[in-house]
Amino acid sequence: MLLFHSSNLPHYGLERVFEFTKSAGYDGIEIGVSLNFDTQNPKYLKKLSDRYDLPIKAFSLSEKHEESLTQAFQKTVREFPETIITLNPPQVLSFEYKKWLNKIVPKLAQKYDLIFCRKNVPSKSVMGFLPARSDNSIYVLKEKGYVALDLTALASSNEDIMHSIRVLGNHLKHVYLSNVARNELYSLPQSGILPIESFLTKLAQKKYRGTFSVKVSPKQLLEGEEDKVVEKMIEVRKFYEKYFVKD
Amino acid sequence: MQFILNTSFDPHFCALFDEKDQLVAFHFWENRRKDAFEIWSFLKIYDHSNLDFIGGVTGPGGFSSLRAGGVILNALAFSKNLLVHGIRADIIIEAFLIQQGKDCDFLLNSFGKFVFCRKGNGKLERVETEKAVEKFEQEVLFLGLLPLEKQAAFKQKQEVSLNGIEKVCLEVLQKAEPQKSFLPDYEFPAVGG
Repeated sequence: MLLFHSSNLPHYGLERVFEFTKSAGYDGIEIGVSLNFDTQNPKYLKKLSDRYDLPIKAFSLSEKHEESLTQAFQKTVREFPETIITLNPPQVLSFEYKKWLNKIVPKLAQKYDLIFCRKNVPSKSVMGFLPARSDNSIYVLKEKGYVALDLTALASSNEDIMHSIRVLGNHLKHVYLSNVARNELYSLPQSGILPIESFLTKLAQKKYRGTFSVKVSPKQLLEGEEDKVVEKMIEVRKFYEKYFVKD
Repeated sequence: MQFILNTSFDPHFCALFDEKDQLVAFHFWENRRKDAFEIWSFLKIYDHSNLDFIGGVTGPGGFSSLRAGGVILNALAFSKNLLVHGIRADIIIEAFLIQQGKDCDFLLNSFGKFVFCRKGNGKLERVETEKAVEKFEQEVLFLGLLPLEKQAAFKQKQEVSLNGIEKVCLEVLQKAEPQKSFLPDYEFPAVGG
């Protein structure tokens, strides 16, 4: 199942993102809960989902404001049972968020029938040597439960995406598709140096039944040029369909 | 298991394929100074005890990068008692472009203000970027292997993603004549020569 992440087009309203996603033929949409109040409004989200006949299959939390959005996130996702929720590892000094992530979210997931995945993020450091986030390696994430794998983030940590399939095994539930082209992170999956086609083929061979979400930079989708945005989205979908061939 | 290595064109990469030519592991890096470190780290992680094919891109490229890659390929070949397959980057790029349905001319990077283009006889010619711009004024070129500042000098370029280059690299290397040792094809003329 291929989803489109709403934060790929941050300068369009949610309604337009639903419209584009539907016309590009995606299976569903992932909502990035952000400071935009529409992303925190379950009634409005359900209305959009019904209007465009496009299921909301996953939720994630904006990297920049995760600590301040935990309550809004919680209230939103509990209205959407059986969806995937992906959350970033905590920043070194985000004690509240860390507590929420480890204590509250697992209970929330259990109570509302959600699939809780921990996500890896691009590696950054504080003062040049301290990792900005703890528990960001796929080895650690795997120990904690299900994993949402961000391919660009993995490559930016100098790790091999093919190897991650073996490391994560059945812990892999959600994949963020993107590529790295000329040092540019979050390029379109079909353009770049990461062997995404081999990655998709391998997952199909392994009978992966999780979901994929396209997460790319707005610049790569030519945000602002409406016709081209949908064209690019279709290109990505066709690339995915070409290599992730299910039996 | 098959091991291939490119320390010729950017980005540098190495990969392992299984006997059915399926990619098993892939690693790339941008920092040329870390060539040896990146390759050894890769080989430490993956089991390469059952290697039966070794291949590398011979050049053109940085002297130190090709030497670092060559030492590792030769060490592997010696320890496994295997021959090494080597081929020049332009042959790989040509095959890749044909496979992508973009049968166009291309340029490779060189030191300073120079680029490499192919002559009619298949040999590489090192020319100043400015001259290459004049020479290929009417043509659409693939410039994806040049730094952005060199690309900017050209008006028309063919956009091609490098996605899947490792597979083409393997295919071309498999067809190349194996040698007892890997012979790098350094920049010509050598710097200062």
